Amino acid sequence: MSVIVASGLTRVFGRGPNAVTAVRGAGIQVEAGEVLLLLGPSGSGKTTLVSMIGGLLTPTSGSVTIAGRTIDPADPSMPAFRLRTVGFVFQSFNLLASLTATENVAVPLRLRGVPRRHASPQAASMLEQLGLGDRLHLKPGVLSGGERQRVSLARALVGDPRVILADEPTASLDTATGREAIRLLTARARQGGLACVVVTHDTRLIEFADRVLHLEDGRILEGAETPVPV
Amino acid sequence: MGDDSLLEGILQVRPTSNDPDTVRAEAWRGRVAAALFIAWRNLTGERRRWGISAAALGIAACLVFFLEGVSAWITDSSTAYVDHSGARLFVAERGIDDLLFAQSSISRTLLPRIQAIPGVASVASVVTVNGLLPISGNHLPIYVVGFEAGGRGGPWNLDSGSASVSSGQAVIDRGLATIAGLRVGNALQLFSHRLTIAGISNGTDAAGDFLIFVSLPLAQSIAGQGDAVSYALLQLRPGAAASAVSSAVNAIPGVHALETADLAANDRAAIVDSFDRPLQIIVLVALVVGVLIAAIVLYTATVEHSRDYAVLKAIGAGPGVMYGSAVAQCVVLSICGLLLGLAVAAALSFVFFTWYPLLQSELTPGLIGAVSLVVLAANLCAVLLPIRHLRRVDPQEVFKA
Repeated sequence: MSVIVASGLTRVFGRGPNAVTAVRGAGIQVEAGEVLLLLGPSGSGKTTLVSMIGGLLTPTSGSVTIAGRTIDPADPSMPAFRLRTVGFVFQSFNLLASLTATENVAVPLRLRGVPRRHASPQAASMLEQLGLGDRLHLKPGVLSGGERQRVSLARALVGDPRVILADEPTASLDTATGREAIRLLTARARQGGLACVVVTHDTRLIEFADRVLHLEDGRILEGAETPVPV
Repeated sequence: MGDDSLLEGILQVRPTSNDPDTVRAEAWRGRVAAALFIAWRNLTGERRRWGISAAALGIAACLVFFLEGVSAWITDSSTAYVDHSGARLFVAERGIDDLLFAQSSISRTLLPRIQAIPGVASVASVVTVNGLLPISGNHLPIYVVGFEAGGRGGPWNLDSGSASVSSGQAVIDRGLATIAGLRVGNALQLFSHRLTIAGISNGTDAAGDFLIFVSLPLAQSIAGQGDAVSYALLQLRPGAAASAVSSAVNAIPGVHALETADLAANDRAAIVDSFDRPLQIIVLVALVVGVLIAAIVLYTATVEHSRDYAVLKAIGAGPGVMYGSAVAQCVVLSICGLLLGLAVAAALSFVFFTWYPLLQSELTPGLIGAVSLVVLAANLCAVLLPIRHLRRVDPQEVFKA
């Protein structure tokens, strides 16, 4: 059974003659342990699509289910579900500047009610696993871009989610750092059995994906699934 | 680092207990802790801004504390003489209902008739005069009280010296003595009379009107109303009804009786109308200024952290954590402001009490508690603005580069 099932997703912004259709009838399915690359140029609707999948944006039409549950951003229990089920990785890392690396990673655990005495060691352990054992108590301002993205990755993974949604995870990184980040992310997805959607315009990431879909002008191109090199 | 060890680390992230009650309690505590933690980090992350904000709130809170203390002092001290007179009834000139603001005059010939009323145990007469005393470059408000030797109506709380006065002596209030630099044995020029200070009393001022106790004949001489007295202080026999005695007094032409509590209430009302109401308007303004400061600080801080809040929303923070964080910041800021304001108000109160007792502020624990609650409640209104902003924070902000 697919972890992510999206069908007929459409999102229109604005009304009347000024209405813009950002995503039109998109449908995707992602299995546990599968890495899906959504490839498309800027303005193709990638971020809008991932927003709808993550429950941050209400589709104009269509539906999304994650782990069998229908995603409805208006549902008051949706934040708690997202907290348990979805891990986000962002292009601009989005770490809280006033918190240390460990504290940033511990945020999802604290929000879930895990006491600090348990959350902090778990967050530190995750950072150590990602090679940031000597950066635990530093704030994002003094970390390099690659380190920040690894902290962001640790934050996405620490809550043991079912789904990872990554929006341009390598766009703010140099080539080598970006490759290392995506390697860590996809390895985790496969080993942990996570359904992983990576949105990018960078075709060099194709080699890390199990499947690639092309998005253009809000549509997933028919028959445009790119074969992934083995 | 191998991917296997990475997975091993991840798999350690599990709930600490399976008991549903424990899990729920831990989750609630954890979320509250998360809200407080985020609030605390936002505060301590910008210490200078929050320090200045707390100082501004502290000034507003100081004004509220100090002025409410002044109000309490005015209200309490305005009836201090009446409260400590020991009389059950005051007899005043008909039409005069208060002690501090009117000049009552009763013919001394009426006193034996009053004394003869059934139920009256004793009658003590006093002569009171309002005035300004030019001393040490100040014009200090004074309230001269002439009382009979050995009778009631004299000083009730003595700091030093003697409470009894002979002709040519006076007992003065501590505040007057402090401002004028006078001690027991020093000379005091009271209008055309040169007196020796026999004693210094404490807590014997009426909202900044310093009481000077002198002999009855001297007060009569100052008042210039011959043998007349201002008030007669009546003590009643056990079991005597005050209403019956009042009726009998009211039957005597030119005078009427007031119960001590009524006279005090009249004085208090006059003081509230004259001084306390304007004071309360200033207190209200200070309170509003404090709320506006809190609102501006919290709102700007929330707007500046919009991105952080968008991240928290995207990750899955519920409204409780988001709003709780704003409320926690408000409470911490308010408490800092309150403590600062209280400290400054207490220091000001001490300074005035010690060096310039013309104005005093009574900061009692009850008043401090009440003012703190009001200020805290008012400041909590300020959190509505940031909460409104937080409701509108779009979690999709996180996708903007």
